[in-house]
Amino acid sequence: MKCTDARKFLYAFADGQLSVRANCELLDHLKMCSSCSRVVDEHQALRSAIGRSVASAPVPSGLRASVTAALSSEQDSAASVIAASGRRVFSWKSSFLRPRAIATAAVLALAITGTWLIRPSGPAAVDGGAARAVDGRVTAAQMSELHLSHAALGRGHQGAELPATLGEAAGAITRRLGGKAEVSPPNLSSFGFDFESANLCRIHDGERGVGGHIVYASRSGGEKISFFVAPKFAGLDQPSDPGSPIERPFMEYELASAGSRNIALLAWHQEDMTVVCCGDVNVDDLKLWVGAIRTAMADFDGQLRRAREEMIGSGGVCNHGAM
Amino acid sequence: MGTRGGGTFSELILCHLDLVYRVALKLTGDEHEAQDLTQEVYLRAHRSADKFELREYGAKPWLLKILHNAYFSRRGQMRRGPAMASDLSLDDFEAELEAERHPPVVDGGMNWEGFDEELKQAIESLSPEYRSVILLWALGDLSYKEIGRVLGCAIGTVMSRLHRARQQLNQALGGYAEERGVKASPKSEGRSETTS
Repeated sequence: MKCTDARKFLYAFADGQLSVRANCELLDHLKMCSSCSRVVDEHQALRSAIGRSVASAPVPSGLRASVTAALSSEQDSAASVIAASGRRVFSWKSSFLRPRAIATAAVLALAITGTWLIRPSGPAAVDGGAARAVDGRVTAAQMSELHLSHAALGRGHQGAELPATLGEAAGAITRRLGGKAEVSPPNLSSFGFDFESANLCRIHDGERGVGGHIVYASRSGGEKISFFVAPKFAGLDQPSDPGSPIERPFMEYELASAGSRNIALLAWHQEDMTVVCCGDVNVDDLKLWVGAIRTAMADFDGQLRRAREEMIGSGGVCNHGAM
Repeated sequence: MGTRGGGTFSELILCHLDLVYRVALKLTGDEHEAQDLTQEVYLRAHRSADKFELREYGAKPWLLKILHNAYFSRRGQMRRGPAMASDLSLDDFEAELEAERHPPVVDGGMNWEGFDEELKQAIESLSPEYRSVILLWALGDLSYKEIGRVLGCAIGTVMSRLHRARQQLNQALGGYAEERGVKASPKSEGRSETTS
């Protein structure tokens, strides 16, 4: 075997990737050729040196404990996931509510007092000074804290029980919250926000305190938007919250945060669900994104209310409340 | 900690924790990001436990694959299939005995002792794609096929990236060798064509 032929196989030989026969042929050549032998030696020396460099890196002493704890928490959280109650879930699908009809990314922020991730990989609970409500009331400040704490986890917020894509996560949330109507969160990619994670989160300790939470991340500046949908809860209507709700189809808040930008929050009730959008984005942008969808929803609410009134008036039994 | 498979699965994956972290550290160059990435890898592994078949795919390559995907996913650079695999042959990876090689030491071989920092910097200077293949290669116990599985590419692509990564490393390290004075003059040794 000549060097010109052997050269083709030297690296593969050095990496142990040749067949037995090819190995033997090359070994015979290497016994006689110092140049090719040197190439093999240096190749293997480089490999060993890099391997030693990798192996010598110190591992943080607490890493195993933190990973083990995270896995344990996930295990425990998965065991305590809320069972679907059969309740009807907020549905974007109903008439105007389809995201495609509304060029907005409504971020639904589940206001959760105390904040609880079903699958925490970071902090198991948000401690922003907000006590966890037990009566189904959640303030805008608590919603904001929930958004900030969960969004800060990045992809670590992703729930183990939920798919990691927008459409599939929406379907899974639908099933978890009732499944009778489909949750169809909007695609915000045209606004520069991509789906990042989805989870089920406990908003409050009261009955029906868990809802779906989808986080979108900005491609450019690190901003996050949260989209929450949950069984209807109170608190956002309360004037004692920071910021004052204005008389519009949605409740609007702008909350100070430790970051460079305030948190904008919009919320509304839709049948027996509450929808909240919030993020460290400009409140006017958020209103622009959600305004159209909310207006459409308000129109739908009006139609639904009138239909119910007609049904009741004609002896029907529908007695749903709408915002 | 409760685990799927009666405790075996967690033991199976946690025994590779140090390796996963170290590779993550070499990929990211940042301790905090490496820790975060490592945790993400294990959470993903935990969630995907049902899809893992030990007999088909060893735990270590599987974890490294998750690491690779997580790393590039964070960078927004999910790899999609091989490049040029079908056009590659061993001729493309022919060892170059002339210009490509770094200057040899006079006594007949490059000694990497004492080049730890330079080696670290040279690895960090590689592009993420080359850095990841070099790290997997350097672990020493993954075949080209297994490396291809981790990276999600064909063996030919593995070989191509390894070849180019080594070229870049040799260039960088050759420079360090010159600075250290551990080089011979380019023509200090004759090379003989040997036929066996």
